Amino acid sequence: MLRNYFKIAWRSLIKNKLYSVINLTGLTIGMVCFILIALYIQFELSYEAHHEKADRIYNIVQQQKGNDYRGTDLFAVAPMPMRNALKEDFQEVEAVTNVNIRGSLLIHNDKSFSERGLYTDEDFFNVFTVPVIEGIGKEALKDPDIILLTESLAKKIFGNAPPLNQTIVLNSLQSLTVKGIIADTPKNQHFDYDYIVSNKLSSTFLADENNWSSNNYHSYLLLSKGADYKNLEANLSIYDKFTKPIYESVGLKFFPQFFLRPLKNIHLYSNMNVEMSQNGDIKYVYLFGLIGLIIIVLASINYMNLATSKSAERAKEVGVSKVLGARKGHLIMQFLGESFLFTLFSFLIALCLSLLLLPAYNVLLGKDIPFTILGSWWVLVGMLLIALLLGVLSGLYPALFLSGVSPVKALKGNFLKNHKKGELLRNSLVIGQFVVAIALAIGSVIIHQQLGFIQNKKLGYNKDMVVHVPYWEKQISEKEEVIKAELLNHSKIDKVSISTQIPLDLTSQGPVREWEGNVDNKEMWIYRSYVDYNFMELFEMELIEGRGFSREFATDSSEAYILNESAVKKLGWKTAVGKKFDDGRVIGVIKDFHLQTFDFAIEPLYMTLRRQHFTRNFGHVILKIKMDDFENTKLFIEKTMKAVVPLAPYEVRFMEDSYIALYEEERRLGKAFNIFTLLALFIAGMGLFGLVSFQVLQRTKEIGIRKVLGSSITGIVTLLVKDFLRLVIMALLIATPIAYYFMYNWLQGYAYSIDIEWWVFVLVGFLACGVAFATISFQSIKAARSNPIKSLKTE
Amino acid sequence: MLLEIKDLFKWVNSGGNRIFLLNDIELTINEGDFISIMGPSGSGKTTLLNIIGMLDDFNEGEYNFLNEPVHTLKEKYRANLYKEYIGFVFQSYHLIDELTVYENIETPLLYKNYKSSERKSLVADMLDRFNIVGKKDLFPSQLSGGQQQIVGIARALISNPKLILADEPTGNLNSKQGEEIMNLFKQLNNDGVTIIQVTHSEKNATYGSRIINLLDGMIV
Repeated sequence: MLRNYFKIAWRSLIKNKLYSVINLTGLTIGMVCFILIALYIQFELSYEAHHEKADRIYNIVQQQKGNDYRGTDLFAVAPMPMRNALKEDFQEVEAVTNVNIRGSLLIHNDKSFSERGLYTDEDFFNVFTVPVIEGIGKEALKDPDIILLTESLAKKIFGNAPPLNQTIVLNSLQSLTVKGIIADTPKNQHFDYDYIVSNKLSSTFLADENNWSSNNYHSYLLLSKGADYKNLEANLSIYDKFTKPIYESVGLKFFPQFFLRPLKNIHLYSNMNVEMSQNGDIKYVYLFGLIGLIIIVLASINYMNLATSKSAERAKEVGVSKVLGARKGHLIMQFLGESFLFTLFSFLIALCLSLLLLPAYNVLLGKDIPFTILGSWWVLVGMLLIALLLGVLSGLYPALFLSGVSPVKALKGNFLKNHKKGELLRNSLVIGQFVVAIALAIGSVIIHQQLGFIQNKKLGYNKDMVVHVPYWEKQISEKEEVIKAELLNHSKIDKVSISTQIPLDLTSQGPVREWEGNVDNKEMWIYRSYVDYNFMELFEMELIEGRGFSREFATDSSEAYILNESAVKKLGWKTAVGKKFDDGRVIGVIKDFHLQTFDFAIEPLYMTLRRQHFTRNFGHVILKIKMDDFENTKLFIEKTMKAVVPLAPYEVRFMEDSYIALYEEERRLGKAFNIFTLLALFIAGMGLFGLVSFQVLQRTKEIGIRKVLGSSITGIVTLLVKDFLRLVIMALLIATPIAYYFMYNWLQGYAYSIDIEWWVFVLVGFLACGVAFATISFQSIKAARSNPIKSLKTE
Repeated sequence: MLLEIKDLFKWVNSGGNRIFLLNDIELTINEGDFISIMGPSGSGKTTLLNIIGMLDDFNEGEYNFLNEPVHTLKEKYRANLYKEYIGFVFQSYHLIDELTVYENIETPLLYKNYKSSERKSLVADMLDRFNIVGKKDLFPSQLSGGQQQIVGIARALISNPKLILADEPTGNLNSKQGEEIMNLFKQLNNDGVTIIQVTHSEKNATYGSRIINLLDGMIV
């Protein structure tokens, strides 16, 4: 019996090729999207899960009430002495580790590598699970002369030669021995590194070790089994006695209050200052989950619509089966069976397709999502169950609908008449599909616009044809003048500046207490940019008052300040030039420019020439170049810098690229969103196709009569198209406010955003009507051109 | 006596008027009969046949089939009754296009939950009896009309019914094929199967033992 059903199902699949392909394509696309999105979500939720004790690991973080740095008073760091204090004071604390990641230079046999190093202590291996592949792990961190390499870094440095016991020089200072090889950091971890060394090697270690205001480390503690972290958290205020006096002594009005953040919540649920890496956002997980759900619902609606419309053609078979003795149950079984077969088939294709598409998908999202479906059986079973559920849901309506038709009517083929209830249902489904597709399309246009706006917005400075070379060697600052002179020799290099930061991400901030008119001794927090004489000119920043830094004024190198408009406004000044500020005087006011990404508003800033020692340890060599012959210019820059300060690898970056990188996450998600939207529109289009076929079939007789009575083909097509465009326009009217609401809220997340314009809705409306029109006309023209005698004969 | 119809009425309401499709039908059919129902278009022939086949309802009257009062039976019992005792043959054959000749003949047995081995032997007998063994793997579209109707008859006979209802079984066939089919019916009748056919053809009607003439829903 079952075999018979499958036989019929299979043969009717083969017989109606166009229909089968359309139906299968829709369902498969839906499932591929669903699987890929599920993989993304699973990956995002899997962060830190590989640490065996993940549920007992907490990150010590702090709130500095009153310190509004880049929009939040939360900081993901803790003072170093807390480690020992916690271990001593609280029994439930099993281990505490301080972790810091910094880029540094590794040298082996004259080859140098710029890599990310993890500076930490012995507890690191007690808290986190890091597989040791070769040699030692935990014991290595007691000894500051040992370095542990990740598998891929070992391969990079030593090739196939055995890496153990080889020597590597760190930052041209310490000579270290390789004693162990550890696994590469998984991509679903909130920090990553290429090697591990003892934090005793850190230049600030001695200063930090007992300093309760040293916030150079990220601290993680391991709680004993069964202990409640809320209890511990409530007691962390006992350390106020150490921190408060220090903060007060330097005149700060705030001091840190510590609290604990569960390890597994870091990636998706928080975004503090000085995070180890760019965190994800649960918002995106929900958004993608929603899209995945929407697409799979669209696809099943589609299947239902197409199967119902197709079922009309199978009425005869149903009638015959009934006369031959099939009960209602038999027929329901048969149609559900078909639906199962179909979804199962499509699920298998979708699985293969997802596997093939995953690498491209990973490139698109910038992730390293593994194909976990086959790895863990329960995911596979879960997906299979979803596919079967889909089979039931989408097969149920056609099954019930067809099995309920009386055999006499079915054999006559006129059971479709007066099926108003079904029509209403199908119309609402199609409207629903189009509402979703149109809303998604509007969303994706607006996202596209906003991202374009960000990329093209006037920043307040000119980043065109600007390249920069970041460095961490203080010799470069020492030989600044030589480097500049050498570089300017090249005909394609117009301007050179060596400054601490580039305007993309100015992060240095601090308090200023003295300025003219500050009678109440107030304190102002302000961003700081340490520059040279050429910086403003190179970026073509616009002065609105006073002058820029100049060598002609000897005092500029010791006491000159330039403020931005926001700073002047905050100080409440009308004019600024000549007024006293901090330890010097204001010589000019510069037009506001963006200090960071558009997520942040422009804040007060001062610029001053680099004079203090700490501003010179690192920075950027910034060059304005001519675009032609870029490759040679690039080589020249690298060669010149290497000649002056050898060893360090120099990387020439375009300002434009660095700028785009800041919006990487949004850009990638935006792209993925566009693709999923297109697919949703496509699926909705196919749903319409199904409905039109059904309607055309129902109205075959009417069309025949109209033709006999002399209606033209155009007349008949218009007749059919009119009805459906009405549905699409209704969907547009419903989708518009929904999309507006959601996109308006999304744009609120940006400090600077586009206005939502009416033409977006019109454009998407036209697009949706176009898609609808194309699908409808295909079927309508076919129906209109058919011979009326044929359609009339069946009655 | 196989079946008995008493005072049977069927009507539809159209704009306040009651239009009678069948009007006071009295009919008794005995086992072994070969009845031909004749009459012009719209006289109610097919309606009467459908009612006898229990595919259609009626509004008033009595219908006893093998001493079971059909008019009082519930839908489910009625369905069981016709599945057990009645086979249908259609003017346009109504074979399932997706199934082969063999599978089409087999289908009624599937719905009656016959075992696989039983099905095989029954279908093989039927293929033998109608001389279509060589065509068993062909699909309906690969057969001529006459051959399709033979398959239709084979399918109707597979579950060994007491009564065959045939609605213009030769309506779509040419005269030679039609003659073949009618001879087949005659032979079946001789084997003891009761047959009721609806036909327009005087010639075909003569194969039967009795003719019932319908006009405007009444037996004349």
